[in-house]
Amino acid sequence: MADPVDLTNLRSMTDGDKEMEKELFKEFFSSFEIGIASLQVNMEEEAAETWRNATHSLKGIALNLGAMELGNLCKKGQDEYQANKETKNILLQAIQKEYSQVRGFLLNLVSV
Amino acid sequence: MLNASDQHIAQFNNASRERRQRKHLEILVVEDQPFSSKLMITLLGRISDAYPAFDAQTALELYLSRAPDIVFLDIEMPDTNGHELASAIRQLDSDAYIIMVTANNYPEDVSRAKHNGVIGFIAKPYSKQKILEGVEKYIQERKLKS
Repeated sequence: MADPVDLTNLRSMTDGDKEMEKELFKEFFSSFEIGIASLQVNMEEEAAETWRNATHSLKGIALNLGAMELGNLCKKGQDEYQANKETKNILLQAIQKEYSQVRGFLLNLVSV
Repeated sequence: MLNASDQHIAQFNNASRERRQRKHLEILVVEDQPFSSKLMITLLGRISDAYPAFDAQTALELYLSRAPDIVFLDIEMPDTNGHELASAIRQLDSDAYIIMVTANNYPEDVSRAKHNGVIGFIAKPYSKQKILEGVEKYIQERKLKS
Protein backbone atom coordinates (compact mmCIF):
# COMPACT_ATOMS: atom_id res chain seq x y z
CA MET A 1 0.00 0.00 0.00
CA ALA A 2 1.38 3.41 -1.00
CA ASP A 3 2.36 5.93 1.69
CA PRO A 4 -0.33 8.56 2.26
CA VAL A 5 2.22 11.33 1.68
CA ASP A 6 4.92 11.80 -0.92
CA LEU A 7 7.37 14.29 0.55
CA THR A 8 9.57 14.55 -2.55
CA ASN A 9 8.23 17.93 -3.58
CA LEU A 10 8.20 19.39 -0.07
CA ARG A 11 11.76 18.22 0.53
CA SER A 12 12.88 19.87 -2.69
CA MET A 13 11.47 23.13 -1.33
CA THR A 14 13.11 22.73 2.10
CA ASP A 15 16.39 21.30 0.78
CA GLY A 16 15.95 18.37 3.16
CA ASP A 17 16.12 20.59 6.26
CA LYS A 18 14.71 18.26 8.96
CA GLU A 19 14.00 20.98 11.50
CA MET A 20 12.08 23.00 8.91
CA GLU A 21 10.19 19.84 7.98
CA LYS A 22 9.07 19.38 11.59
CA GLU A 23 7.93 23.00 11.75
CA LEU A 24 6.01 22.56 8.53
CA PHE A 25 4.36 19.37 9.76
CA LYS A 26 3.22 21.22 12.92
CA GLU A 27 1.86 24.01 10.77
CA PHE A 28 0.10 21.46 8.58
CA PHE A 29 -1.59 19.79 11.57
CA SER A 30 -2.69 23.14 12.96
CA SER A 31 -4.04 24.44 9.64
CA PHE A 32 -5.80 21.20 8.78
CA GLU A 33 -7.47 20.80 12.15
CA ILE A 34 -8.79 24.35 11.99
CA GLY A 35 -10.16 23.54 8.54
CA ILE A 36 -11.83 20.32 9.69
CA ALA A 37 -13.42 22.16 12.64
CA SER A 38 -14.86 24.65 10.14
CA LEU A 39 -16.31 21.86 8.01
CA GLN A 40 -17.94 20.27 11.06
CA VAL A 41 -19.98 23.39 11.78
CA ASN A 42 -20.68 24.45 8.20
CA MET A 43 -22.55 21.53 6.68
CA GLU A 44 -25.92 23.30 6.44
CA GLU A 45 -27.14 24.57 3.05
CA GLU A 46 -26.81 28.25 4.01
CA ALA A 47 -23.12 27.68 4.83
CA ALA A 48 -22.31 26.19 1.42
CA GLU A 49 -19.85 28.95 0.47
CA THR A 50 -18.01 28.63 3.79
CA TRP A 51 -17.81 24.85 3.24
CA ARG A 52 -16.50 25.43 -0.29
CA ASN A 53 -13.84 27.90 0.89
CA ALA A 54 -12.73 25.57 3.68
CA THR A 55 -12.43 22.51 1.41
CA HIS A 56 -10.61 24.58 -1.20
CA SER A 57 -8.13 25.74 1.43
CA LEU A 58 -7.59 22.21 2.74
CA LYS A 59 -7.10 20.94 -0.80
CA GLY A 60 -4.27 23.42 -1.35
CA ILE A 61 -2.56 22.52 1.92
CA ALA A 62 -2.84 18.78 1.29
CA LEU A 63 -1.50 19.05 -2.25
CA ASN A 64 1.41 21.24 -1.15
CA LEU A 65 2.30 18.70 1.52
CA GLY A 66 2.20 15.83 -1.02
CA ALA A 67 -0.89 14.12 0.41
CA MET A 68 -2.58 13.55 -2.94
CA GLU A 69 -5.43 11.28 -1.81
CA LEU A 70 -6.28 13.74 0.96
CA GLY A 71 -6.14 16.57 -1.59
CA ASN A 72 -8.46 14.65 -3.91
CA LEU A 73 -10.97 14.08 -1.11
CA CYS A 74 -10.92 17.78 -0.28
CA LYS A 75 -11.43 18.57 -3.97
CA LYS A 76 -14.46 16.28 -3.95
CA GLY A 77 -15.72 18.16 -0.91
CA GLN A 78 -15.18 21.44 -2.74
CA ASP A 79 -16.99 20.21 -5.86
CA GLU A 80 -19.93 19.00 -3.76
CA TYR A 81 -20.30 22.21 -1.77
CA GLN A 82 -24.00 22.35 -2.59
CA ALA A 83 -24.71 18.79 -1.49
CA ASN A 84 -27.01 18.06 1.46
CA LYS A 85 -25.81 17.67 5.02
CA GLU A 86 -25.80 13.86 4.91
CA THR A 87 -23.53 13.80 1.86
CA LYS A 88 -21.22 16.36 3.41
CA ASN A 89 -21.06 14.31 6.58
CA ILE A 90 -19.91 11.28 4.59
CA LEU A 91 -17.33 13.39 2.74
CA LEU A 92 -16.08 14.85 6.00
CA GLN A 93 -15.68 11.40 7.54
CA ALA A 94 -13.62 10.31 4.54
CA ILE A 95 -11.45 13.43 4.85
CA GLN A 96 -10.96 12.85 8.58
CA LYS A 97 -10.06 9.21 8.03
CA GLU A 98 -7.45 10.05 5.40
CA TYR A 99 -6.14 12.95 7.49
CA SER A 100 -5.53 10.61 10.43
CA GLN A 101 -3.52 8.33 8.09
CA VAL A 102 -1.46 11.31 6.95
CA ARG A 103 -0.99 12.56 10.50
CA GLY A 104 0.11 9.13 11.73
CA PHE A 105 2.58 8.81 8.86
CA LEU A 106 4.15 12.21 9.55
CA LEU A 107 4.33 11.70 13.33
CA ASN A 108 6.05 8.39 12.73
CA LEU A 109 8.61 10.10 10.50
CA VAL A 110 9.57 12.71 13.07
CA SER A 111 9.83 10.22 15.89
CA VAL A 112 12.35 8.06 14.00
CA MET B 1 -12.63 47.30 -0.50
CA LEU B 2 -8.86 47.84 -0.57
CA ASN B 3 -7.56 51.20 0.65
CA ALA B 4 -4.31 52.98 -0.09
CA SER B 5 -3.79 56.11 1.98
CA ASP B 6 -1.84 59.14 0.76
CA GLN B 7 0.86 58.21 3.24
CA HIS B 8 1.13 54.74 1.74
CA ILE B 9 1.36 56.14 -1.75
CA ALA B 10 4.12 58.54 -0.66
CA GLN B 11 5.96 55.58 0.90
CA PHE B 12 5.62 53.71 -2.36
CA ASN B 13 7.22 56.55 -4.34
CA ASN B 14 10.29 56.29 -2.10
CA ALA B 15 10.29 52.49 -2.11
CA SER B 16 10.04 52.22 -5.88
CA ARG B 17 13.05 54.56 -6.25
CA GLU B 18 14.98 52.27 -3.91
CA ARG B 19 13.83 49.22 -5.86
CA ARG B 20 15.65 50.47 -8.94
CA GLN B 21 18.93 50.57 -7.02
CA ARG B 22 18.50 47.48 -4.87
CA LYS B 23 21.07 44.72 -5.30
CA HIS B 24 19.01 41.99 -3.63
CA LEU B 25 15.56 40.68 -4.53
CA GLU B 26 12.51 41.34 -2.38
CA ILE B 27 9.58 38.99 -2.81
CA LEU B 28 6.12 39.32 -1.27
CA VAL B 29 4.18 36.07 -0.75
CA VAL B 30 0.44 36.66 -0.43
CA GLU B 31 -1.17 33.47 0.88
CA ASP B 32 -3.73 33.17 3.67
CA GLN B 33 -2.79 29.63 4.67
CA PRO B 34 0.18 29.62 7.09
CA PHE B 35 1.43 26.19 5.95
CA SER B 36 1.56 27.09 2.25
CA SER B 37 2.97 30.52 3.04
CA LYS B 38 5.77 29.06 5.17
CA LEU B 39 6.63 26.57 2.42
CA MET B 40 7.02 29.35 -0.16
CA ILE B 41 8.98 31.59 2.21
CA THR B 42 11.31 28.65 3.01
CA LEU B 43 12.21 28.23 -0.66
CA LEU B 44 12.29 31.90 -1.63
CA GLY B 45 14.09 32.94 1.55
CA ARG B 46 17.21 31.19 0.27
CA ILE B 47 17.48 33.50 -2.75
CA SER B 48 15.75 36.69 -1.63
CA ASP B 49 14.33 38.71 1.21
CA ALA B 50 10.92 37.02 1.16
CA TYR B 51 8.08 38.08 3.43
CA PRO B 52 4.47 37.02 3.90
CA ALA B 53 1.08 38.69 3.89
CA PHE B 54 -1.96 36.68 4.98
CA ASP B 55 -4.67 39.03 3.74
CA ALA B 56 -5.14 41.47 0.89
CA GLN B 57 -5.10 44.75 2.85
CA THR B 58 -1.83 43.84 4.60
CA ALA B 59 -0.43 42.76 1.22
CA LEU B 60 -1.30 46.09 -0.35
CA GLU B 61 0.24 48.06 2.52
CA LEU B 62 3.41 45.94 2.42
CA TYR B 63 3.59 46.37 -1.34
CA LEU B 64 3.39 50.12 -1.03
CA SER B 65 5.91 50.37 1.81
CA ARG B 66 8.50 47.99 0.34
CA ALA B 67 7.91 47.85 -3.43
CA PRO B 68 8.90 44.19 -3.76
CA ASP B 69 10.38 42.98 -7.03
CA ILE B 70 7.97 40.06 -7.35
CA VAL B 71 4.62 39.17 -5.81
CA PHE B 72 3.42 35.57 -5.57
CA LEU B 73 -0.31 35.95 -5.07
CA ASP B 74 -2.90 33.33 -4.15
CA ILE B 75 -6.16 33.83 -6.01
CA GLU B 76 -8.55 32.70 -3.28
CA MET B 77 -8.33 34.51 0.03
CA PRO B 78 -11.04 35.07 2.63
CA ASP B 79 -11.36 38.86 2.56
CA THR B 80 -10.61 39.96 -1.01
CA ASN B 81 -9.83 37.73 -3.94
CA GLY B 82 -6.42 37.81 -5.56
CA HIS B 83 -7.73 39.36 -8.79
CA GLU B 84 -8.90 42.48 -6.98
CA LEU B 85 -5.58 42.80 -5.21
CA ALA B 86 -3.65 42.29 -8.46
CA SER B 87 -5.77 44.98 -10.11
CA ALA B 88 -5.22 47.40 -7.20
CA ILE B 89 -1.45 46.84 -7.26
CA ARG B 90 -1.21 47.26 -11.03
CA GLN B 91 -3.21 50.50 -10.90
CA LEU B 92 -0.71 51.89 -8.40
CA ASP B 93 2.38 50.38 -10.03
CA SER B 94 2.45 49.65 -13.75
CA ASP B 95 5.80 47.86 -13.24
CA ALA B 96 4.35 45.37 -10.74
CA TYR B 97 5.54 41.81 -11.42
CA ILE B 98 2.79 39.50 -10.20
CA ILE B 99 2.68 35.73 -10.45
CA MET B 100 -0.66 34.23 -9.42
CA VAL B 101 -0.96 30.92 -7.64
CA THR B 102 -4.03 28.73 -7.49
CA ALA B 103 -5.23 25.27 -6.48
CA ASN B 104 -8.03 25.50 -9.05
CA ASN B 105 -7.75 25.27 -12.81
CA TYR B 106 -10.37 27.69 -14.13
CA PRO B 107 -9.83 29.30 -17.57
CA GLU B 108 -11.71 32.38 -16.38
CA ASP B 109 -9.06 32.88 -13.68
CA VAL B 110 -6.32 32.84 -16.32
CA SER B 111 -8.11 35.32 -18.56
CA ARG B 112 -8.98 37.63 -15.67
CA ALA B 113 -5.38 37.49 -14.45
CA LYS B 114 -4.08 38.41 -17.92
CA HIS B 115 -6.55 41.30 -18.07
CA ASN B 116 -5.06 42.53 -14.77
CA GLY B 117 -1.55 42.47 -16.21
CA VAL B 118 -0.46 39.44 -14.22
CA ILE B 119 2.80 38.05 -15.62
CA GLY B 120 2.50 34.38 -14.78
CA PHE B 121 0.43 31.60 -13.30
CA ILE B 122 1.45 28.68 -11.09
CA ALA B 123 -0.83 25.80 -10.09
CA LYS B 124 -0.66 24.15 -6.70
CA PRO B 125 0.99 21.96 -5.56
CA TYR B 126 3.95 24.31 -5.55
CA SER B 127 6.81 23.22 -7.70
CA LYS B 128 10.30 24.40 -6.84
CA GLN B 129 11.15 24.41 -10.53
CA LYS B 130 8.17 26.55 -11.57
CA ILE B 131 8.66 29.01 -8.72
CA LEU B 132 12.37 29.47 -9.45
CA GLU B 133 11.65 29.75 -13.19
CA GLY B 134 9.31 32.63 -12.37
CA VAL B 135 12.03 34.38 -10.38
CA GLU B 136 14.66 33.72 -13.05
CA LYS B 137 12.39 35.16 -15.73
CA TYR B 138 12.04 38.35 -13.68
CA ILE B 139 15.82 38.61 -13.27
CA GLN B 140 16.38 38.18 -17.01
CA GLU B 141 13.73 40.74 -17.90
CA ARG B 142 15.20 43.23 -15.45
CA LYS B 143 18.66 42.74 -16.97
CA LEU B 144 17.27 43.47 -20.42
CA LYS B 145 15.63 46.69 -19.20
CA SER B 146 18.73 48.06 -17.44
